[in-house]
Amino acid sequence: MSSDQTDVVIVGAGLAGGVTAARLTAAGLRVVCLEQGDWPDYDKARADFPDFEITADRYWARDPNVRRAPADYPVDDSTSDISALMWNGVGGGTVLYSAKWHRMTPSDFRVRSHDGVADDWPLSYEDLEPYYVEAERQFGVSGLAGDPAYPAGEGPPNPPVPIRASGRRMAKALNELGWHWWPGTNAISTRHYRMLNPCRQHAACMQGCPERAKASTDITHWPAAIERGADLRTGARVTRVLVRGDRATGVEYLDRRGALHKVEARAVIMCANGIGTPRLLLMSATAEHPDGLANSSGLLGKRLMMHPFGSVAGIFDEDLATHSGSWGQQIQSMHFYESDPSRGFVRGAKWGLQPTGGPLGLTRSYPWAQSREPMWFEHFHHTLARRFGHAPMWSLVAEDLPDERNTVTLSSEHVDSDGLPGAKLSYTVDENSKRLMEFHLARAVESFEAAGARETVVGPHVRSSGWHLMGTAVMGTDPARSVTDRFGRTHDIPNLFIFDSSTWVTSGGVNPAATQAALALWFSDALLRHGQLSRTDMRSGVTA
Amino acid sequence: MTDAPSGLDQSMLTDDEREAVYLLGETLIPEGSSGPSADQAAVATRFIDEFFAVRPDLHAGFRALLAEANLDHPRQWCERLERERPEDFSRLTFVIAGAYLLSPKARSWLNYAGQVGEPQDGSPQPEYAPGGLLDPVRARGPIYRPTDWRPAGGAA
Repeated sequence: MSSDQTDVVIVGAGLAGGVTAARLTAAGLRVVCLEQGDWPDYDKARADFPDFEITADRYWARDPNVRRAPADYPVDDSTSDISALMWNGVGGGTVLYSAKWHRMTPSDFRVRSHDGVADDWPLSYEDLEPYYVEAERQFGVSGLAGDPAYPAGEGPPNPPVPIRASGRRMAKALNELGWHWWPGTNAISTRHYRMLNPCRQHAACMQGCPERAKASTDITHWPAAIERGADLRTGARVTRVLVRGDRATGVEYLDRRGALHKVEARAVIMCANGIGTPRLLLMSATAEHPDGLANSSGLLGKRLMMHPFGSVAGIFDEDLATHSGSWGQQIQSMHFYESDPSRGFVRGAKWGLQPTGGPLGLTRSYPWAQSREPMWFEHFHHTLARRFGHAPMWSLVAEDLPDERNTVTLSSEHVDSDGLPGAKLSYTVDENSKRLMEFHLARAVESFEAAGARETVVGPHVRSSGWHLMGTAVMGTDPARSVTDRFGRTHDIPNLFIFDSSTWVTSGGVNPAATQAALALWFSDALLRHGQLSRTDMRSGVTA
Repeated sequence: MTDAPSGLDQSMLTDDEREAVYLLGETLIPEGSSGPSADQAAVATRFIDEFFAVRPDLHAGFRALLAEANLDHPRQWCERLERERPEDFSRLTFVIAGAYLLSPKARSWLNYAGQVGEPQDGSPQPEYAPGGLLDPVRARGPIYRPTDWRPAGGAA
């Protein structure tokens, strides 16, 4: 077994890993990052080719159980209402995300105080605000400052994506209803900005952006981190985190040929997402840590949140050019975002208006099987022509409250290609989420009716929607009730950190990338500021 | 239906299978008042092969569906498949419609040039300038709850 040493080893090269590596290498630390997957192959980004819709769900498939790439590990979702979606490779979830970019609101950090459920975060919107601003610069976010759904402050560095005919139509309708809307905020550049090019509105954001317009950390963060000396090792599957007493000493990993290696480090930072991180820490159990590492609270792998997802499409008589556009969102609404107990549930959801893309997608069952207009046989041309270009869609992200019965554990039945146990999910969409979603879907239908839609199509609950994996190593101030402190440091093992969305206390009701990027910066700066891992302390022999 | 004889390219369809594609294609996508049928779009004769050239992973499952299709009553068979095995029906229609929409005739009917995109340069949009669509949203003021918000009647 080979062995080498570094200051920091990061497990996972996705959003959190990329942001963290860029920050720590800029501060002069030696960083090794171990990533089980590879760099995304943008030769397989086919938006400019006739076979785009046919090939989009092959290489770029979102469900690891469907994609079954060599880097993927099985996720047993047979006891989960929602399937987990992820990209195991450099860039992580940002390779596949739609790049909708939302800060959480101040109240999202105070759910216990405001609504009497779940917990408050051990940090506030105000704590994160400067990191949101920095993250928006790093990701070349486009949008417009001044959204009244948020406190006043600095906005994104790039102007918003085009509103297009569909956004204009819905904005007018929301104005008539007196409802909030705002230009869409997206991690999609609208002009030449650092390493990003302006979006050409292919509506291909989730199947390999062909323009380098969508910000993903394989483009925005890793090249700079590597330039500064980060050692990013792909095809490196971590098998366990190594500990001696209450200190992490490094990690072991298998390379593509199955050879075992060890990296010794002063600090280990987990950035393997809300499923991968608890899986690895559970796999790292020792005699001293029989329930997994950093699990004295018993909360490791619990409180899984995945954001129930909803969608409503409107079909209009006129052509609204909905085959194209940033996807992403043209406009967004948070009119019903804050809690109103009279609705019969707490918290809310964010709406994002997006295109519906090319014609093949419009023949698929989701959500179109709910349409009153049949698709096949003698109806084919009539139905497809009425949908194509005529159908904007609201996508709804609903707050998902934490519940300790929603868990990630190790699978006793499924193993990955190296024989390591897969993950098993147990997850139920709760009653609050169901009521919340029912309310929001009804309001979204109203908005399309106000806009003059000929038909509205409400997507049913869909299992394949677990884009956002949160909460399975919750942060907090009480070691008995949390896994890490508010700086991502595990209570049990002071040089073992978790910088990914496992640490989330509540989920908010918005897409999580903005907050996760800001958190990675917050965590990284704390790690540097507290000095335990500064270059000086590294060299002065802090015990590892 | 018979399997392709061993030694032949297993990614190709047999004549019988191609005939099944023709019948199912004409059933699912018959000629419309405005658009071409699957046969007129050359699904069975050309574009089914172009489809599988880029999605060979779907070939075996599709052939299995062809093997069980009742080609004497293709409409009834398709309707029953849709009703009783929607996932298999989705697999069938993804291939047939996918091949159809590779055809220039079909794309021309929809006036669809592909996801060719539309350049933009981040120029200011009049909707967002004073006097534009955002005026009433701005006029209503903040809608968020600040961090120091407390529920009416006391601290939570």
